[in-house]
Amino acid sequence: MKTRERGSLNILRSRFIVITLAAVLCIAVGIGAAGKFMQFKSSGTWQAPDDEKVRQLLAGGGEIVFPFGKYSDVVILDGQKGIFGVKKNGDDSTSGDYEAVDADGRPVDYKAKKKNERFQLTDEKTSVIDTATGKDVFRTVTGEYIAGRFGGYWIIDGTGSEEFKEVHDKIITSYFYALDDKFNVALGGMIFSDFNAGSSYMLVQEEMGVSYKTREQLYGRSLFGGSTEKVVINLAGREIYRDDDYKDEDGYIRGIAGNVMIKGNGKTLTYIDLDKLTEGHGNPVIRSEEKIMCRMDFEDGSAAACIPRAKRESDNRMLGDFAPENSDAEKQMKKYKWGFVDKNFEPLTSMDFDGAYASENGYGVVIYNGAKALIRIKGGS
Amino acid sequence: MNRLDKCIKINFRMVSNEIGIMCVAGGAMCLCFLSLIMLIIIPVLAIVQLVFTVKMYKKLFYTGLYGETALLYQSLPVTWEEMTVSRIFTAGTGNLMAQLVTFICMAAGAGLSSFGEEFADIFFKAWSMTLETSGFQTLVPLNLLAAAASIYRMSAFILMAIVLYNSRPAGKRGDWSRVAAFVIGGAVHVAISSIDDLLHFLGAPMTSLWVPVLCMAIDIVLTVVFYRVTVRKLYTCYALN
Repeated sequence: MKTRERGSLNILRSRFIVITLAAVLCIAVGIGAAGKFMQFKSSGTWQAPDDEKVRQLLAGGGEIVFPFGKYSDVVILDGQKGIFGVKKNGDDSTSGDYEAVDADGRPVDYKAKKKNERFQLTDEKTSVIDTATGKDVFRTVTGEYIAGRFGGYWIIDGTGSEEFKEVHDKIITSYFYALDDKFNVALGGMIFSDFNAGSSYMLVQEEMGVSYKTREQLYGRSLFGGSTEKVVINLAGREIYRDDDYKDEDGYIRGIAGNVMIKGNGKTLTYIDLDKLTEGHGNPVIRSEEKIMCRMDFEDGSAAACIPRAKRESDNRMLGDFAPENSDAEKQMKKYKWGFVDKNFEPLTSMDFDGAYASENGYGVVIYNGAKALIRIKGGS
Repeated sequence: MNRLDKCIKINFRMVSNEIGIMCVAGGAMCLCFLSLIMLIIIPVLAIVQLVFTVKMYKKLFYTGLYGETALLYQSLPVTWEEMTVSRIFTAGTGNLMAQLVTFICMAAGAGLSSFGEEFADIFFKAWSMTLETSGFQTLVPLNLLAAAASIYRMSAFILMAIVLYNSRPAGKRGDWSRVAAFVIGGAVHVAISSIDDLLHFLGAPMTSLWVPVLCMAIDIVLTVVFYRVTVRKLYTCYALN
């Protein structure tokens, strides 16, 4: 066999090696530059639309209260009194310090008031106190906590119940049940795995075949065991609508927003007036829409609605009541074109905004090109 | 063109088919986000990529040194240093190209699909990057450089392991010793590759910049060490049966 002589080696003399190292470095630097650019774009450098564009955006359906870009953030604190929270430009902190101003931008003295209710939830969400006496009137079982309120009902999250923790392995993600205003089990002991409580109606995902008394059967259920049905309940605890067998050509319940129920069959969304459905008079269907519109809140006669920018199936997360506290909210908004509509889904503004939050007493916050504005919607209350 | 470049060119030609298939399999992953059912194809393509990666390493590190084409490559007027560097470089670069194509195509495919954004979020968060933070400017490039360094380190390690194993006396090379060498080698490789996980476990934040820098430095040092051990063994113990 040929004996090789030892030799020294300078790898940098190899053209291939040098080119490859340079290419990898360039790709790395390029990604870094792209990241810098994306951060620059997302960090709030915006371009306010000109007057002509603003007119087009409002389409005669509103007027500007705070122009685009006047403040880095605007929220509605009290629409009835015309009090708004604003953050000055340059303040990109995520803290909750907003300055309260009126519609003219003048500072006002505003303190958020707790609802004047006799029974209030403690911060730990494990007990209810009687504000008249200051004493606990109800305390949850260890491991459970109060997840929400719907009218006079208290919604309890029983998932962490110590009673069952040591007996069974938990497989289901969560379950809830309701207590009435006397803290007795309500709604017939219904157990539900999800709920969306509005001011007049609540949508729940009922776990079939199990009730409050037999809730331990939930533990040990496989992920695919058991069935659920979506049910709409009113303030009296009466079942208004139940999604069972998906027999309707409208499809199945996608969500509720205020007193509007949204059903979808993959192609169209149907919006149903729950008040009319409850009364049983007239056609409760407001509209069936092929252009998918999502996220509406008709509390004040106008609603923020959106159409997907891309022709694809709607994003389930955008349906029904929307949580502005969601940190991804504005990122999700960018997938849609936004505007305001009235209760009959007739447009009150154009649908060209990049984002919009639920209106309150005719005031709405809109986003365009990263800049926010407060508008007063004509046609809202 | 100097001898090292010629050697590299020969090696690339030898495994061009394998590298091409690895890149195509990686590129095809962009189609996997067209619908949920297509996601099933990802493991299939990953297996295809893995099979041809193994074939590439085998051709470069075994067949060309101890196998059918060994005699041909021994006739080349190159030093063991050049032979070793060219093979490590070829294997590492081929692997790196396939990984880059896979990453870019999966990201592009995820971006185009209706549910890809959720997947992209999970994918990016698993790699400690977000599109909104300043870390994206420096953490991702550093992670990329660290990944490249680890690929070359892995190639150097595999070559060293093969050379060490085949440098043992013929009587000591059997099926069981091969299995043992594979297991030990695999364990060592996993241990080295888990240094960043260990650092995170010890408290280093996921977005810290010094972790990928340290891992990259370790990989570069180890690559040099493995290369030197390989070359030394080849000079002292190389023999063709």
